Amino acid sequence: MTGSCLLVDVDGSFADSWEEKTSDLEVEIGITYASLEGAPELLESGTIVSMVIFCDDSSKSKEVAKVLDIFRSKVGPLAHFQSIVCTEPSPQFMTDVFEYGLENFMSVESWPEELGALLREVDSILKDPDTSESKIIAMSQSIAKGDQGGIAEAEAALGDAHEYDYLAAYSKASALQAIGKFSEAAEVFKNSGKMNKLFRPADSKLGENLMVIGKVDDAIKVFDKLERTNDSDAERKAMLASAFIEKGDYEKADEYMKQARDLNPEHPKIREAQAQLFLSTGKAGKAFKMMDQLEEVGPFLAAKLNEMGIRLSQAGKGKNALALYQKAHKVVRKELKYKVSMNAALACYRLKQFSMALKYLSRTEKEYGRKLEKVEKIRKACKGAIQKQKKGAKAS
Amino acid sequence: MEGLLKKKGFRVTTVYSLYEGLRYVEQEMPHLVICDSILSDGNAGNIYDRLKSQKMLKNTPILVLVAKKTREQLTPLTGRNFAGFLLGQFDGAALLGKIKEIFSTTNHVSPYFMSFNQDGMPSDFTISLDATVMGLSGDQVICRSESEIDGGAALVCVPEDNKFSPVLLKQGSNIVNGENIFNLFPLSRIRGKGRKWITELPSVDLDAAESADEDDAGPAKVRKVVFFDPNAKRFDQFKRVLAGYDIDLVHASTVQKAIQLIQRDSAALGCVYFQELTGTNTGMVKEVLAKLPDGEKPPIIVGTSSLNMKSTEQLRYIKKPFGLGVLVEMMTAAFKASDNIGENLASAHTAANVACNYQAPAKLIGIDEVGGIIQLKFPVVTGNRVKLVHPFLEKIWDGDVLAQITATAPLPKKPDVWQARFEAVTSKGNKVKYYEKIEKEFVETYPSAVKDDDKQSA
Repeated sequence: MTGSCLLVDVDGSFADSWEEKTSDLEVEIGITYASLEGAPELLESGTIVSMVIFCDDSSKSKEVAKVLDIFRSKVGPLAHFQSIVCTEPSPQFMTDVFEYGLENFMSVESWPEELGALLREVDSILKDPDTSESKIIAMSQSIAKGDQGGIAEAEAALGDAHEYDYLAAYSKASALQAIGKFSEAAEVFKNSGKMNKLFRPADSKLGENLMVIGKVDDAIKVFDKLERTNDSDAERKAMLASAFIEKGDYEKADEYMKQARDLNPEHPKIREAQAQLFLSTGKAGKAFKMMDQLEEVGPFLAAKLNEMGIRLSQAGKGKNALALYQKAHKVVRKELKYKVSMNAALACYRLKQFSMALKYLSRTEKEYGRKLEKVEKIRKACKGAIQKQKKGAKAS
Repeated sequence: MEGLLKKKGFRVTTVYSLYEGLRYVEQEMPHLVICDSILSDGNAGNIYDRLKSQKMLKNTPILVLVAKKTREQLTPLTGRNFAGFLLGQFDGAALLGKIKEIFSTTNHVSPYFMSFNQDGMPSDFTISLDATVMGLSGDQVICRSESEIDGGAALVCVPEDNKFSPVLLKQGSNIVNGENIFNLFPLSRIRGKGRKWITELPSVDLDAAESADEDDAGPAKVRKVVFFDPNAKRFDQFKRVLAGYDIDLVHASTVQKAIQLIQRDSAALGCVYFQELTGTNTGMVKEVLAKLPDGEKPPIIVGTSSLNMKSTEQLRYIKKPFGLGVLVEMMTAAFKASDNIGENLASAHTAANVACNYQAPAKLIGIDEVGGIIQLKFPVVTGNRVKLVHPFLEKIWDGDVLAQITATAPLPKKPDVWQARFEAVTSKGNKVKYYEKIEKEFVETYPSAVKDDDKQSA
């Protein structure tokens, strides 16, 4: 078996019938059912390769977006492995899910037959070792676990597919982003978007990476272009707010933040932008409080937190820096944690807390999954300093 | 009766005597004989006995019409196992019901059908079609071939020169310019490990702005589309969403309004979209298009929930419910057709011209007196000509494996599995002689095959 297909019941009306309706499908892929609340856990299990969402109500796109988001990060950007059961999706619903590249819909009347067709297609793709999809799934799972060794392996397995396959390019760029190579990631995301101009996730990620590397104006251009074809995406509004905070244009940032809240007040990116605003305006206390509400923080705010920690540490406020890193480590995505740990080690080094620094370095390597040259250098310096301290203590 | 049956899609020949009937059946091998119980020169029993006595014709079903339950009319039926009877005055609905019932007992295949579903029979084979990959036009790969491609088809494009790797082409659309047929495939839908070469093809566009780097290109051309959707709210949302893709929708709240707009603005339209179209309205739209001058007929996109609607260059069906990308890509392909790029493509000199073969795996379900039935994982356009590279067909058709698709339908409950009826393109001579030849070859090649008992559903 090549994996399972998850049926997510947003409508809550298929619990009693899905099993009977799928019982005679001639498919080799297993079928699992979950409510909207139960879906995240199953998506994180590593066994799901395909997903069909029951949502015949076009107004529930926010709920659908949540599971699409999890599928993209835990399984991969494989929109053609997903579908939505909705007989008459509204144009706005189509637009909302197209942000994830999704464009397959099934009607309520014929979904079992169409599900059978989809799963036979998924199965045949995953059984072919030459297709990119199974490598993309492996890559996404490694990124989600923060397994840097696995990421490197999956990236090697993809070979040169990123040169002609927009999905492979998207995955390679995600891998580059996960190992902190944001400039290269931006370049590859850009190529992915060029290969498929309708694949919006690539452009969204391009904008995010441009922000991380400080090309805020370019990022705004990318987001503005996406806004032309959908101005109802709360995440993008929040990203635009972040971009304008970065530029110091708080008025415009506030405008975008308000628009984002109007669209989806619960979107986590809004809280990230708010935390960034507090940090940028010197309201560290409020920022810390806001950070308690964050989880799975993306690369932009993670980079901002690291940057601020370094600044504090270099300015002799090592303890404040460490407090910040402790908070940051709790909220950033798994694949971004190693960088926070490494910066915490450096802060300890500056504070002359060398044993603590060594602990942070061990954690860095554990999180990174393999040796890091920079970690080795800091470790050597720490050990040297400890030796010196010992010698000094003996001499005195 | 003849009119009714023809209207329902049957090919019907009417004869007026037992003599004529037997002669016709022995030459033309019909799939069903409908006859009155009493004929001018005999009765239904005579036909039954004659057909049963011939090995080739013994499975031909006979439906007998018995006008009155008189002894004279009932006697020919005694002791004979007819496929069906209809008693009393002519009743069209009852006749059609009976015909349906009879064909369902023969699994809707010809009585001369020879199945390929037994062990040792090579049912898997490849269908192929000669084509040439010309180059890129924007985000689409343009090929030239002898056939239109169904939007649901998945074809492996195998270049003759092995320095180019095979690629999988999907979601094709067509531009027909005289005898030239151009197949367009969106680059983003193309799959296959070695497909890099296809992304590096030269542009065949004569419109430089389109092929220029997007960052350097000027403002995009806004395309006007007449959009029929009776739901005004849904139209407003579509208008807002598609404006971002440089598509300007003009609302038609009724089909009549859409037709008026087509008549008034045909030359300026990129395409026309109908949320749905009934049979009568389709006829009206086709009539309007027929009256428009060549080069001013906008492509029509029609939403449908049926799997059986076959697109043509003029009328392109989009399966509902659809996603945004599918609609935008379909409209983009339609704009290319309305720009008459077919003329430019026909004389394009910058093309790559990579000779290739579209190929797809298929299964031979069986053969009959004119062709047979194949099974595929996608629909094929009725009327298409494809090569059926199957060893048995190569043998009986003397190497000329070109066949014409005459009908297609998906299997019940399997929208991804299609069966298609085909006929040989090159005349194979007299139907009876042809059948005798293939039957002999079939029995010799596959001696274990039991013709009568293994008819398969099609």
